[in-house]
Amino acid sequence: MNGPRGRLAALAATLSVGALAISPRAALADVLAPESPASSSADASRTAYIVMLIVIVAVVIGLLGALLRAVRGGSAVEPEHRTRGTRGVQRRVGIGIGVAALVLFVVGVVFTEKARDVEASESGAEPIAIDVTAQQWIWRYEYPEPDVAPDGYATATPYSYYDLIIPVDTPVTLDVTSIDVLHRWWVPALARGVDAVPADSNTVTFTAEEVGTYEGRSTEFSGPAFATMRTAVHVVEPEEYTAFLEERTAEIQAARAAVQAAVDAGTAPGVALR
Amino acid sequence: MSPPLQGSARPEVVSERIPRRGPAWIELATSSEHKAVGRMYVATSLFFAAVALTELVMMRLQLIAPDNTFIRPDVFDRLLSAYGVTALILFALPLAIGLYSHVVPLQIGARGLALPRLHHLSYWLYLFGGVTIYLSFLYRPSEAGTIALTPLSGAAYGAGHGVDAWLIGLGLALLGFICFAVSMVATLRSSRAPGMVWRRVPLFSWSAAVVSYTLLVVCAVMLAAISMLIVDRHFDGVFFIPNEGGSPLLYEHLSSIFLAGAYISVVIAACGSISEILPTFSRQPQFGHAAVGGSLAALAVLAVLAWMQNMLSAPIPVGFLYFAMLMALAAAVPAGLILFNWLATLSGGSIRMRAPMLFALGAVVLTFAGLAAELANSIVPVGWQLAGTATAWADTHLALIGAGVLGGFAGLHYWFPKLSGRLMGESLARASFWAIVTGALLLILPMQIAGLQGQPADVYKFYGDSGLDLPNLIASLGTLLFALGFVLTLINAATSYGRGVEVGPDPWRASTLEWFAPSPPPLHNFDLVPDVRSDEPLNDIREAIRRRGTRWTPPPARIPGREPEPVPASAGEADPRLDQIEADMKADASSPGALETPRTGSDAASPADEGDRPVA
Repeated sequence: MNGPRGRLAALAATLSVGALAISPRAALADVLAPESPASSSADASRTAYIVMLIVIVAVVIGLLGALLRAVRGGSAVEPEHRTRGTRGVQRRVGIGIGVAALVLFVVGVVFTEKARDVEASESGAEPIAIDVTAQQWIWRYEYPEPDVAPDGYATATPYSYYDLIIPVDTPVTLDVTSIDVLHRWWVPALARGVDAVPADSNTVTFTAEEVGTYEGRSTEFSGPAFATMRTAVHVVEPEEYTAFLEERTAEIQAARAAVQAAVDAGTAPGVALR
Repeated sequence: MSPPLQGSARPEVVSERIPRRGPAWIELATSSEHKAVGRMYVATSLFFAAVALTELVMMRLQLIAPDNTFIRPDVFDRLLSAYGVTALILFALPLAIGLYSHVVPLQIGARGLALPRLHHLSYWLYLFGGVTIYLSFLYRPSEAGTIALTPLSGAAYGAGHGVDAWLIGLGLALLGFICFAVSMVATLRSSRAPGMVWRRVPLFSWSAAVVSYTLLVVCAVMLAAISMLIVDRHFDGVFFIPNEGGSPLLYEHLSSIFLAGAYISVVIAACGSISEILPTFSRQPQFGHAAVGGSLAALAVLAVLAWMQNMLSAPIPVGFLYFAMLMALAAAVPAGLILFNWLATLSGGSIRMRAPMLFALGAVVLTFAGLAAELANSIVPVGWQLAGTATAWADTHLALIGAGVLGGFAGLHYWFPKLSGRLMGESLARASFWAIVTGALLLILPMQIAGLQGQPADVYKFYGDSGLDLPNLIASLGTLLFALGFVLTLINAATSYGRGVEVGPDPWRASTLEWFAPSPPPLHNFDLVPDVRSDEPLNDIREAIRRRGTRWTPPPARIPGREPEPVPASAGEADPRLDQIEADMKADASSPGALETPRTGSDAASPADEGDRPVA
């Protein structure tokens, strides 16, 4: 393992790691990384992940190589490092790892700030604020009221279950909470995981950049039907979004009117019992 | 070559075994002697390992195909809720604790524990804790998930007494671990042999101190959380009730602190075992003893401080997340130093690839690969994406299978001769090792990929349209192979305990004091407690015997400044027999002046130079 073969193996390892570093998308395609992103915050998360994947692969290959060398009787460590009782060696190794860790920390902070998509919320465009409420085992989305005249009822807030419809290229802020146990809203192509905690609000801001449908799941254990707790985000053109809101509002108002009519006529179940 | 026994030894209580008072199992169960408690801990932890393994296999069989209906969702949740606590709290930690109980007093040259009854109590608390959790299977066990997060485990959603049994069982076990930690810390502080200063304490015993202090902190935290949750459930408390002033996040914080501490304790215990095994099987002194010791302590502190890396997606201000990320990254420094010193220890050594070494090297690779993967998850944007996915589950399992299973089994194979006086079967150990490693990788790598494709952890099924069929199939088959390898080691331990190859006190030619005592050691551990003059006391003893051997056949004239004569081959190469050591020591003790060993500064210590020291 010491001779040319060892060096060849080290070269091959370095080259493959280098290749991964140069063309992460091509090499890691869809298997070794989260879903291909459709928002800049998901993109930042994915890039951070790929950086860390390369670091891990390099560490594991290095560890395996060094162990193999040592076990085969070679030296995994430079000979001068093996002098006993040299504190300098420990200090140098420690400082080396510490510097690498600091670099990773800075990288982590940079990508965190990117993933938070702070610019989107600070820029002129007011993000669309959507309230997300989790319960066992569904998601309820409440949209801001559209510009239609309310018909006199207390609220005209449009809402939907399971499916979230948002406009493309518009910043969206989700205010996530829960009414029973812990859940987690996670649509990997668009945004980060967001814990839904009862009596607590957790917000996330992102801008979807491509029209399409993106699947999500809860990844926080929430009871027997936890595996069925899925959601889907439909990113549509802004006009479609407005049309959807109007349609939902009309449907909801029609349904309310029907119920009110049944109550007035005395045919609603609760009224009939009386 | 050893001197004939002259005269009578100084009077002291020396006996090979005590008279039997009752059936052996009653003697064992009621003994507060550290070796008996250690053996009970090890045996019980291996029993719970088999239980956890059964649960893992059943859960993976449910997930072998999409939309499978092998197990009902609520039954799956019961298995899930029992599995986590069984694997980590009832198996991995107690296996380490059992080895600590048996080995540490021997290793530091103590006659016993400082607080034996407390230690004994700790075992029974642990056992009854485990039994309490499993007795709830008689009615309806907890379905509240791996660590019973509130509000799912609160009175509103976790009806019935399953959660209560889970909480009380876990609480009893943790109370036991606190008793263990107090006893271990007291023993390490008060019962070390003369000359065994902290810097010479073997790394395994040092890791026992680190683990004990860690457990003292984190078990207390979890006990507080358990108490509060029980108050919430039964006495109208509102600690964790949302909308009434309580906070579910508080429970998540407390349990994360505990999990981080328990997790790193298993890793540190494995590091302790590995730090004994690598030097022994490469015939090299441990490189950077002090650096590894300091790194183990730093690792414990930093890993616990990084508890929030498990809750990155919770509603916590981002500054705290940066703190967690910084602590996790800082922990890479001690972890890397430990690895560096192990590699330096191995370098240039003459490696003997026996079963303990094989398991230790496997543990090094899997544990540190898992730690590296966990480090990636603690980078905030990565953790935001991967929290709660099968990827995170697989990364945790990689580190814990490396440390808890391979590291624990490395220690088991290494100290089994000391526990039982017999070796574990070598070829069975090899077969078991390769099955465990292959099975574990087949389980973990596909799960890491499945998580990236969107599979959450802890789900009882996955959908057929999600493209996750193949990874889950491979993972389930890998689990079966893993279980096979695991069972092979359990069988190996069970059969070798009564029928293995009998060995002498020091089968591995190690350098620490536990191998100075017979295998298995007598009740009082050592006839004579040796003086410790370096961090390799048994090598010093061997050297002293070698020198004495050369002088006694025939007695040469000592010329000051001249090198001692070369050693006869028989004395230098062969393992020194225990009776030799003892005969030497007794002769020496009876007439300390008879051997005037010239001592220079670097000269080896004589274990028998104790003319005026009382022996406890």
